[in-house]
Amino acid sequence: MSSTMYILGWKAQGLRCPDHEIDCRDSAGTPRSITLIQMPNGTGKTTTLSLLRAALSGSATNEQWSRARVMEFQKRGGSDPSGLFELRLLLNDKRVTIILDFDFEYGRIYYKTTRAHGQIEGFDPPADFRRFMNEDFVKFYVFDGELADNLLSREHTDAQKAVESLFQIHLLEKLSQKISEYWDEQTRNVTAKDQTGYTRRTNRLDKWRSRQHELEQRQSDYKSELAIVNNNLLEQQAKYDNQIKKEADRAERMRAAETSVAKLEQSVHESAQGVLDTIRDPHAISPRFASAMYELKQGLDRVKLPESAAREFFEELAEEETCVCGRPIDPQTKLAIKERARQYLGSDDVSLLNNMKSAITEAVGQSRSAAANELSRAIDALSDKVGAERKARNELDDLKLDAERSDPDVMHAKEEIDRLAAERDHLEAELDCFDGKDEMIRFDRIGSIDPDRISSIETIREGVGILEEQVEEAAGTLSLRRKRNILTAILGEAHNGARHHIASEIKDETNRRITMLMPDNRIRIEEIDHCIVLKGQASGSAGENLSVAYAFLATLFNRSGEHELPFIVDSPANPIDYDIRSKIGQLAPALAEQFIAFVISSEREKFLPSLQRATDKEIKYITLFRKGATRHEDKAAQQPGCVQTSDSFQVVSEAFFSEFQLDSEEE
Amino acid sequence: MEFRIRKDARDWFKHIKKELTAPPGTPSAPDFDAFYFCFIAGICAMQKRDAPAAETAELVENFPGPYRNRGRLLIGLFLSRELELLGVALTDQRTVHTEISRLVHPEASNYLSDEGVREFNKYANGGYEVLLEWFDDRPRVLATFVRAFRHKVSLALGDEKSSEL
Repeated sequence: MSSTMYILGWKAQGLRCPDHEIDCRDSAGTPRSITLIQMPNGTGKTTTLSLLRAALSGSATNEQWSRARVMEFQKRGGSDPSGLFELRLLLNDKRVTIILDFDFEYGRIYYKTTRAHGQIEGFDPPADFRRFMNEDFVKFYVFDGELADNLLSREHTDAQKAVESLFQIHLLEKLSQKISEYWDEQTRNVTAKDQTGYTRRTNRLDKWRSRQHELEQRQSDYKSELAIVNNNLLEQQAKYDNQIKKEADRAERMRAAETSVAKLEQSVHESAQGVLDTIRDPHAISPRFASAMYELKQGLDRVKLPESAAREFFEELAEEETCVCGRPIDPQTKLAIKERARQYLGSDDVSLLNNMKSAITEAVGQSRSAAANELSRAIDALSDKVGAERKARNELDDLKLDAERSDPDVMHAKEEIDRLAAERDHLEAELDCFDGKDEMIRFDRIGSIDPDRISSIETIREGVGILEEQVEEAAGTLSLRRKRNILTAILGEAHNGARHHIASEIKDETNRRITMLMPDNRIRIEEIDHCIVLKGQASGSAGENLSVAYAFLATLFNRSGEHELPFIVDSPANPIDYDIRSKIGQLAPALAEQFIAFVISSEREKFLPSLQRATDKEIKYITLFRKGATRHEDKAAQQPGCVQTSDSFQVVSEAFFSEFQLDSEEE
Repeated sequence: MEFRIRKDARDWFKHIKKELTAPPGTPSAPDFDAFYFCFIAGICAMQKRDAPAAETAELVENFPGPYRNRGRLLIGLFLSRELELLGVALTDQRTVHTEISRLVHPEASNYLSDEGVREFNKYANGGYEVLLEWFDDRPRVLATFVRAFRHKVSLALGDEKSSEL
């Protein structure tokens, strides 16, 4: 079922931001596709965005927000013990209102939700929207610059989770869990013939499963840590490169040495590929192999295999009434011919053996050692290149060592690289322990094995499988388990396949958008594996990261098709270079069906004209600023669309919006 | 019937898997490369081992990518070693015929009967154990591995002492 969400507007009262009410609709009550809200820094943009996130996610409940966090929202110097934030939504064409009642005396927030059936206490969005209205997902469509950096970091946002959630791939995993839970339930409810034996087996199974869970968790943790360390290593390497090249003369020598190493590396790579392809010829590996093949061919020739006549000739002859020599074929002769026909190869076999003999003749007919000699020469050449590369690398290392000795900053950066490299090696070694199979384990004595002494995940899984069978034997639910195994295997494969294919398609499409946004920039996504992983770099500049994030989110929201979510963003073009701003402006209307942006006046340049050109829909222009903080109050008060509250002015006008020049409040 | 590789053997090659590419225009087959190195080591040491299906991973039924045109040669090497292992003299037409008929199947995409594939796989399974004896650690760089592999094969077969054959 499709899910369409529009923000109709919101109201804030008695909170840290000025009291205000924003209406994102046109005069007919239809949500505007684009709403731009201009607020100088210090007016409460961050507070408003936090309130929107809290209202959309239900995250500000007593369990999740501390008293101190709630109190941060109290109006400065205000004595009002209460505050209110009301968000009006249109969810699948039905109005839903979410209210956050702030109690500053007790530092608590109470949610109220109003739907068609009336108002109820608590956060209660329609079931179809819950997957979009939770803390993890809301940050993708109520977006700020920080998320752009976090999308590229494993330590923060899980980009892959967003993909899984939006395309509901995670349901396959959930389904698999449900099936396993159902099996557990069934085996628990069974009355075993031998209760003692059954209990002993289930206890043993629980212990093995607990170990399996522990090992899988540790493996996952190590993998995450490794990804972070690798990212940090890339960043540190970039810092080191910058430090080491800060002196012009040294930078020049370093560049020359690096170029030399890079060329030789490429040469070694190409040479190794050449050797690999030659080594795939079995006769090139050893002249003895070539001779063995040749002797086989010669031997077959000597014993006339394959024969010139194939089995089919004699089988057909046996069906004739007279032989080729003219003698009649009686039943006894017929039987003898059929029997002896088996000694001959079939025509297909003959053809295969002849082809094999031809291949051998072609490969080693002339010489049994030529291919091996050629491989030896290729290996010698490869060794020379490896030696030259090692020498060039040593020269580069010497240069680095000199730099490290003479410059403490370089030395420090190097020490950090060494520390990270050691950490990486340690994590890789730890991860290796989980791989492969523990050959020492004998499952025929599984009862006497302590699973805590096993590190191989494959071995533990195998043990769990054996113990599950033993439990089922006792409980008589073996066929149910087989069904569960088949189903979970299918679901696991479907989940992996779907995740891989969708992530790969999103990566390709996002890269196309990045090319469009920054045609002269080479930043590209390598893969989406938990976070967005860039090709050859851990992160880009602020502008690059933001552009990558927009391209990713535009792809995500446009591909999902079945869902229409608003996209709310703080300072959409602020940290971006002027030439990219106009491209972001072009992209913004395509990001989502409803685009709401908080901007400051200096951000309009380049961004606003391109945004206006990119859409044929009417844009709502709102300017909101605090009372007593600017020189614009008189002019605002004269505007026909001006609304005043106790501490703010709000003007809905394109002309006022375009002329307003104030990035920060004037104290 | 498909070729199968021991899972631990496949893991053993994981650090150089990305380097196991094929010439331009040919699909790469890194797992089959790993299988091939195991097979050659097994053939070299004439060492065959059974491996339970659960401990092995399915590869392909044919000779993939860079091995497409080398399949018949590999069958030739396999048959020569298999006949040698069975002690079949190449002058014994009848036994040679019987053994070859048992092992090959012209209609199979890998030219082998089910029994032939099983025996072929056994060399690769045994070969992995040979690799573990030859190398202290997993290969990490292709340029180092291919040279060391060739050297080990040559030593095992006595090539380094032999001259033109």
